[in-house]
Amino acid sequence: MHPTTNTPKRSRNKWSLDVNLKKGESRLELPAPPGYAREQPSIGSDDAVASDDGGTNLIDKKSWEIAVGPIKGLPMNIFIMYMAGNTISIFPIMMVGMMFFRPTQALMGIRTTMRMLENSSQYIFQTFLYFLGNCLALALAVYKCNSMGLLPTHASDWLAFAAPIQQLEYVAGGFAL
Amino acid sequence: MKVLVYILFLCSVHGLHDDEIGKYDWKKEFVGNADHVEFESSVSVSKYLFVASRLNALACLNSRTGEIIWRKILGEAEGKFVGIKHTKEGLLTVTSSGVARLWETNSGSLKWEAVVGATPNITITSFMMIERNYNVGNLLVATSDNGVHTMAMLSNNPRGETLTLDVATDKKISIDTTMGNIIVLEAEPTKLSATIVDGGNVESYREVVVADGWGGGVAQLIILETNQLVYLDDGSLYLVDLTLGATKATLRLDEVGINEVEKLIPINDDEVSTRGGWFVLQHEGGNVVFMEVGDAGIKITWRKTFPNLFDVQFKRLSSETFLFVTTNNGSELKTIAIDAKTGLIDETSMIRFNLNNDDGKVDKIFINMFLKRSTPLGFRLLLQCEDGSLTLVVNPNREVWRRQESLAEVVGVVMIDLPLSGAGLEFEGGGAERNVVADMFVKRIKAQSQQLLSWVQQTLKEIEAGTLFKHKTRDPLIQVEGLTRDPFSLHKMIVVVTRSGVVFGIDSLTGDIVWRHFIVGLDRSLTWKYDFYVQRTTAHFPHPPLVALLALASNQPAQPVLVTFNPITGDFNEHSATKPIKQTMILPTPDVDHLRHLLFLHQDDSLTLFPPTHGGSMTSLKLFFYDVIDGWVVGYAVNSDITIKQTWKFKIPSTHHVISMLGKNMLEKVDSVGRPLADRSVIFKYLNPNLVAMVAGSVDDAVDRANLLLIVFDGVTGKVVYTNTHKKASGPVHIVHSENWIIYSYWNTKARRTELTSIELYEGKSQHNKTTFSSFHLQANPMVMQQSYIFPTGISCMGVSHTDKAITARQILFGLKRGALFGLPRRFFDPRRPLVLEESHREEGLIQYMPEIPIPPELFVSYNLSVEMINGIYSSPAALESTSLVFVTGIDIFFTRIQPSKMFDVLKEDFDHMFISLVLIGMFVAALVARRMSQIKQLKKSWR
Repeated sequence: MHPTTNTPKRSRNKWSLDVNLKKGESRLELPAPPGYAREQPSIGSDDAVASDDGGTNLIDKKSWEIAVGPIKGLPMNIFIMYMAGNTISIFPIMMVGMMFFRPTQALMGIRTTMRMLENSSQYIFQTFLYFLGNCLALALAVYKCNSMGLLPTHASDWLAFAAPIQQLEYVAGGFAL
Repeated sequence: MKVLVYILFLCSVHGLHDDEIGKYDWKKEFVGNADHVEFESSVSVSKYLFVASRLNALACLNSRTGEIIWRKILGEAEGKFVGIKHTKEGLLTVTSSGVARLWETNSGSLKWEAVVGATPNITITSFMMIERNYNVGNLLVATSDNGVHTMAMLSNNPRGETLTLDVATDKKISIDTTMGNIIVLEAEPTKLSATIVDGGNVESYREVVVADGWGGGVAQLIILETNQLVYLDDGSLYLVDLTLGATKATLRLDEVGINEVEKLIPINDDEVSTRGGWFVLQHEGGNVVFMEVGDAGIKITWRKTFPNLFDVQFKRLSSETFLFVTTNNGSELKTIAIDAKTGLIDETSMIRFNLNNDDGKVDKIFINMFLKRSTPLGFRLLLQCEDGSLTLVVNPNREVWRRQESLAEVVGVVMIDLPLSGAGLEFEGGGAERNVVADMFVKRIKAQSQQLLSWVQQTLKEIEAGTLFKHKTRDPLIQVEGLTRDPFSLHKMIVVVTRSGVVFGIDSLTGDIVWRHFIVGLDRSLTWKYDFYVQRTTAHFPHPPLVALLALASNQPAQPVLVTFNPITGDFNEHSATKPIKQTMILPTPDVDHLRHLLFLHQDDSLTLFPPTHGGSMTSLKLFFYDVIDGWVVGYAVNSDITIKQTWKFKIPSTHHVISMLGKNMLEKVDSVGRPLADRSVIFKYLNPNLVAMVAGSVDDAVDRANLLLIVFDGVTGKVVYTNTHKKASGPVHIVHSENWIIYSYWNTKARRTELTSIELYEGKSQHNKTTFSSFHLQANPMVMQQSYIFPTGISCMGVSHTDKAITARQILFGLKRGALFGLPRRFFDPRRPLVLEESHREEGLIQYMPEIPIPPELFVSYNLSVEMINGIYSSPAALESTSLVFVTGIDIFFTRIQPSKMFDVLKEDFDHMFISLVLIGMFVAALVARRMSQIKQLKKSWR
């Protein structure tokens, strides 16, 4: 025997819903789940229908924003890098790390960004711009690393790998014994 | 100021913690070969034994154990000890420069010191003491080359007087305590004269010509009591009254069966008044004749014959006088005591001592006589042997203790890695025959499983014994027992050779002597120089390690002695003598048996190899030497048919003579070929392995004209790379030469201080040849940087640390004259130290130039220990890159290890392993628990 019946439970918890079928009961159609609206609401259908051109503009605008974003961030990054200084300590290193991390992440996820930009009219140009901006940010990070002395660009950085010099002659001597 | 703070900060990390003292360092104290020995003058057997050595050390030994109770070391300018004497006040010593000192016997503290004889530049030859009453003090009487000096030894104010006598080279002085007289006997070529001096006011009041026309020396006469003198002339003994000069009696010796007199022995060495009328005459065939002088002239009381007679000594104690006769037949030393007056031999107190062939001959015997309750007398022998050992022997034949005093004069050191343990050896041995890969693999697995098995067994045994977590040795880093290599190779065998020709194997962990070998084939009357050559290390199992020792007699055309030995076990092989050797070389490349051969250049310019056959080519070998006599430095090249041809020579100007010469270690490791500068470019080092630094001093040693000449030349081509002159400078010179730098110390005669000069050689910003170095390559002379410094204290020796890969910064080690070992980082001697410190310099780690080298107390490697008279600093790398092992020789031997750049590759000893592992395990468990709990919580949540 099922312990719960509809009526006494409902008074206790008005949100509880019993979807179990009782013996002998058959229901062909389930009631709609709470909060489910059967009819589709129409949102701003008037505007959308009214100006199709405006929609494309908005997509273009948004796409441009996405595309130019990395380049826009460059001056700020330059400023931050300038302020961070060339000393090697935890904060500048973290900043440089972020400088590397963000463009790299963006470039890795360039496919999703491309999909976002797909609907724009200047799709190729924008993608290129986005790519360029990230590359510039990366270049900035590399430059920063260089100015911090983290890149093995000098002879001294390769000194430890120099093979020992082989000697061709051996000598012994001193006072005549 | 900044720099000062920086230096202070830099140095503070080098210090030693209180609990680290003696954990990995040890020091052994020695006295050196005994010149004078004095037993504490007491009637019963005494505890103290005083030794004055040829190294100018004075020590008080415990005669029961042989341990040093106290030891004092005098400076070189003091001259040698003339003698030591134990008095009631303390121990009296006089040195040849004329300084008398009285030492407290128990502590060795100095009671007073005073100069005997106010005249400078005298050499004291002997001294004795007249006992007087307390108010006037005992009288010290000393003879020098120009007179007799006396000094009243008042404890608060010792004061002396000098009587200058006509200088006679052969002079003997005796004292007459009862009369307070000093009797000076002078033997001139034609006569013997006696001067009697009053000890109180040092006035000679009687001069007597004892024997006119006598040509003997003072060794052939004896003064007896009541101013009697016996001298030997032309086979007769003459008895003379000193005060009158008249001959009282004569005795023709051939009438009593004495043909050749060897020695006349008085009862007491210096005091006349206790001698009575007796003396002993020793003559040929080991005969000892006891003679008595009386009114009836000289007569023989008793005579005895001792075959193999070695030594005869008189000893007096209260009323007893005994004659100690020692015989030595090469294998046994026998000393018997004879009652002087009766001639009775006391058989019970005889000492027999078996001599070891390994100790060399007995040099000196010192006898200590004392009275015993049961028997009339007892005595002990102190033997000084040729090998430098000091042995105390008691009745009947027991060796109480032995001190290896030759270790006070170590002249050569080599440190050898210990062999691997049994299991490790098998594994290493697998590499010897390289067969098939599969075979080798099986072997390796076998060896390693065996290692694992033995490790498990060992651990189980330790658990059973409860010693698993206990330190196995006192050194926390060495946890392998016995003479096997530890993982860090910190435990080594130190092989040393001493001046007297004894080779010792010393365990570096404890300082104990593992083996000892006395080189038999050396003529001990010559001075020998010793050189070690490590022909094969322990890394080539199953071949045993092999070290060659070449002994060359200095300045004599004696045969060189070559011995080879296994440095771990001390098994020696003596090799047949070769022709006199002019120069030697150990070949850089080993043969198929991993043995490095020796190449000898003989006096006749021929070459020989040892062992004689060697497969490799030898055309890359060059030899050079400096001939002290004619001043030429001559270089030779070795031809392919093992002959030599002279390739170059240059002459040291006749105004100079070479003081010191130092090349680099053959096969020295250099980690970095260049040095990064602040602008990140590289300045390449001039790493010529054949470079030799030579310092010559001027023959003219006047203060303002003395100068030093530094010549840096290539030993292969003879090309002079750099020269430098130091005006107003003289030796002693100590040089350290490594990589591309040379540091040498000298004495500035004008400023009267020790100075150091540091030189670094660079090729410049580009490298001449990146792969090989040949001295024959056409190359410009290197850039030279040079800086000089003032060293505020005297240097007796210099050395440098060596590490495994030479990555660690070098430490320059100084043996200070004040008796300490001091280590400074090499960057204090960087010739690029700037006058004005800029940011870029700081980036490079350069310190601002200051002429004075600081001596911070934290940098004393020997911390508060005194390591006296350092004359050798030897360092050897451990397998730990940070660590270098240092062995210091002098009158003491001291072993320690240094970390020039701190210990960067081992956790500190105070690192809390337990705490860290507890925290780790705790965190792990906590993470597991938290995960489980969160899972449960999550499940509960989703069920809600």
